[in-house]
Formats: sequence, structure tokens, C-alpha cells
Amino acid sequence: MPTHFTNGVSDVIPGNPLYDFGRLDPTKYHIFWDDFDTTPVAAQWTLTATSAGTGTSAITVPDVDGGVARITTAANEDDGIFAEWISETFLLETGKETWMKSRFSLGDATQSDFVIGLHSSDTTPLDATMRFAWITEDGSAALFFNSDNNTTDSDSSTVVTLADDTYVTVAVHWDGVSSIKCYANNALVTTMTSITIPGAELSVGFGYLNGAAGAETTDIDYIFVAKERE
Amino acid sequence: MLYQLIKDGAKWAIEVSGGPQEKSIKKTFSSREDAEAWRRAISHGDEEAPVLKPISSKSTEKKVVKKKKAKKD
Repeated sequence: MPTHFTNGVSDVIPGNPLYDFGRLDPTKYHIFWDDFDTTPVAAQWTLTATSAGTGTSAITVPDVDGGVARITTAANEDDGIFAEWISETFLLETGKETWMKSRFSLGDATQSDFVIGLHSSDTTPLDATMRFAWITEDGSAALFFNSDNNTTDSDSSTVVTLADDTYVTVAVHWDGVSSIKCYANNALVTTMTSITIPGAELSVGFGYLNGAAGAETTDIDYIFVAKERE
Repeated sequence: MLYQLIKDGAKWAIEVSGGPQEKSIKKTFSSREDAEAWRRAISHGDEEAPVLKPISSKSTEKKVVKKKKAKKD
């Protein structure tokens, strides 16, 4: 039986304009949340696709419970698609904690390049000037977290070894000082220390490229990013 | 905006499309490298992003009228 707070709940101090507001203050965090119940469209995302082989690389939202952004690739190596939010809306900062969480399943865990998280605007996010994102590179099924501030490029150890067509949930927590905790399937795996975060605004982005010939299907269940506002 | 790199015969092309009410454009290049460099320059702000023209409702109406006249003839 749940506890019922019939008068509401509050997380603000007396004198705050939302003091009598019966819900938690939604302005405390800048939150990006996409459960992919709707297709990432060109009006909100910059989509960079490559379809040199048979077929067309695209993102759709199929009839799947939970909402999924499904990347289908054309059939050549290096065919695929990247999606980045149309504006760079997240600036990582000292003194402000940030969380990211995502769930996805890659068509080919080894023969693929994949990125998801935050990066500076770029049609090839794997080479973006700045990154704060999970990456797996062609030829390896190891997923690691990468923080690149355009001066220092730091990779975590392997956070999880991916398997084909198998969902994994990953998360990171930037502590607002110098550490990034990396989680896989809701368990802490490793902590990156002495990190200097990217110093400019970043876009939310994700994308998958084939590492070998053959069309693939990759599903992104959700992306969550939250940063303290004050 | 969607930038779709495709093979266009012996050349390469990038099809740029936006919303359903915008006309898509296609820009061709002699090599894949040139096409990717153009796309990348846009994302870095070194090249102006193409502006897609709206599909005007007027032009659609005109086409309908023209078709009707043709039938009478």
C-alpha cells in the first residue's frame, strides 16, 4: 500500500515561490528525457545518415512496448545514422552534478561503431571535438565511457561487454568535482577520477555505424540526462 | 534536418530533407570524401546550412487547375 500525501509534497524552503505548490520543484534540474514514443524527426534532431549500400539508413519508432528508436542501416560497412539534438543544451559544470542513463541493444556488438550521450555538434560524433558519452568501437564489443574536453581524452575501463541484440542499461554520475561513476545494469562498475569535463555546451546524441557489410538493426529504448540547475 | 549520403551513379550525393512541408534538395559530389567534408563543415559552422524552401500551397492549387483545364481540351 503506497503512502498517500494527499496535500502534496514539497522540496523547497519557506519563502520560495513554490512553497505551497503541492509537487516537487521541477525547476531544480535541467532534464532531457526521451522514451522514443515518437520518431526523432529532422525538426528536432540533426540526422546524419550514410546509405552507400543496398537499403536506406533510417530511424523509426516501430510497434514495440516501451517506445524504441530503431536504427536500421543500409548494407555496406560504415553505413548507418547519427542523431544529435538540434542545439547544444548541456554544459557540464564544476559544482553541479549530472546524471545520464540509457538502455539500448546493438545489432552487431563487435562489428560496429556506436555512441550515445553528449557531444559537441558534429556529423561524426566519434570524432567530435568534445564528448561525454558511451562508446564502442568497430572490432570490439567493449563499451567504455569517454570524457574528452579537447585537451584530455579520458576513457574508462570496459564498463560492460556487449552482446548482439541484447539490451544493456548504462548510467554515469558526474559528481560535480572530478569523478565519474560508471554503471552497467544498475551496478557500479568503475569510477573515473581526476576528470576535467568538457568546457562548452554539448548536444544529446546517439548513432550506429556498421563495422562490416550487412544491414543491422539497433534499438535505443531511452535516453535520460539530468543536471543540477542551481 | 536529415543529411543522407548516397551513391548517385558514379558520383556521390547528399540528400537534405526537413519537415513534410519543405522541399528536399540534392547536392552531388565527385567523391565520398568531398561529400562528407561538406556535411562536416556544416556541422562545424564552417559552411552555411542549406535552407529548404517551403512547399507552397499556391503551387499545388495551380497544378490542380491546370490538370482540370487539360481534361476539357
